[in-house]
Amino acid sequence: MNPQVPPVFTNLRQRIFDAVVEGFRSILTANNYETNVGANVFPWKSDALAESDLPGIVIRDVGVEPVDTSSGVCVAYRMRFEVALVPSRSVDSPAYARKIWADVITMLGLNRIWRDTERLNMTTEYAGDEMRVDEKAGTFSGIFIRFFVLFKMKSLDPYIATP
Amino acid sequence: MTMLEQAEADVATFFDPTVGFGIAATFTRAGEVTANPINVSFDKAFSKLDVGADVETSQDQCAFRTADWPDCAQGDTLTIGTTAYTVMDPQPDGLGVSVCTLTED
Repeated sequence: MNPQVPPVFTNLRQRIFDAVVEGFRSILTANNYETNVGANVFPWKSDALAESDLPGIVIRDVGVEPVDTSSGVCVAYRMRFEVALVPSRSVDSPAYARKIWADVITMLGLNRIWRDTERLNMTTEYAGDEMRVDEKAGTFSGIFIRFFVLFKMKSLDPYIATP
Repeated sequence: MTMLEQAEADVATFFDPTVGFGIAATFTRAGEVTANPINVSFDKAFSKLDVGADVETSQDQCAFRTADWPDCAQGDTLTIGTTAYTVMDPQPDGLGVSVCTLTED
């Protein structure tokens, strides 16, 4: 057990990941989005998606890298996310993938500064995407997007965010 | 009778629903409405795709005697029971049998 950390604290990386997942889960027509893809969000799904999981989103936080270490006390980091947006099999699958993409970009724009029960003070950078279509077994498509969440924390202290 | 002709005649037994592996189906050529009866063997093999994430699905395909549907083309329809499939990729083997991949879109 880490003697420095009270057991009630959640590390900053987990808080950021949870806030991002909740953002994706908010993509529902009830929230004025065009699609309901927020009903099938899978954080780090280790096995393949079944057709019953579609349309679905798989979210992975693949790494964190320092951006600015000049202050030495409060360090800026970029947390890299890779997300797969996969609509159901359909001849219109690529068009529906573009609708899901638009909903995701809208959601990222609305959540430029992510929040949880405490202000996390993070911003988002979109890093591009790739679209893939496979027609061997009916028309499947997917858009693989990358984005960064920028945040600051005390140097080598994963529990305290800084403005 | 040449060996090829003999092989094509024997293939009919393979697709016979009563003594072989076939099932009764109908096909409709693209742009037409007439449903033509045909015996086919139908496969629904497991398939995994990568479209940014792995997706499990099935690769539907059928095989039939080429002489029964010699002009099978992309866009034709095959109906098995109440399920209609669109022909994606007809592949005649030159020895009397054709295979085509299907989509249930």
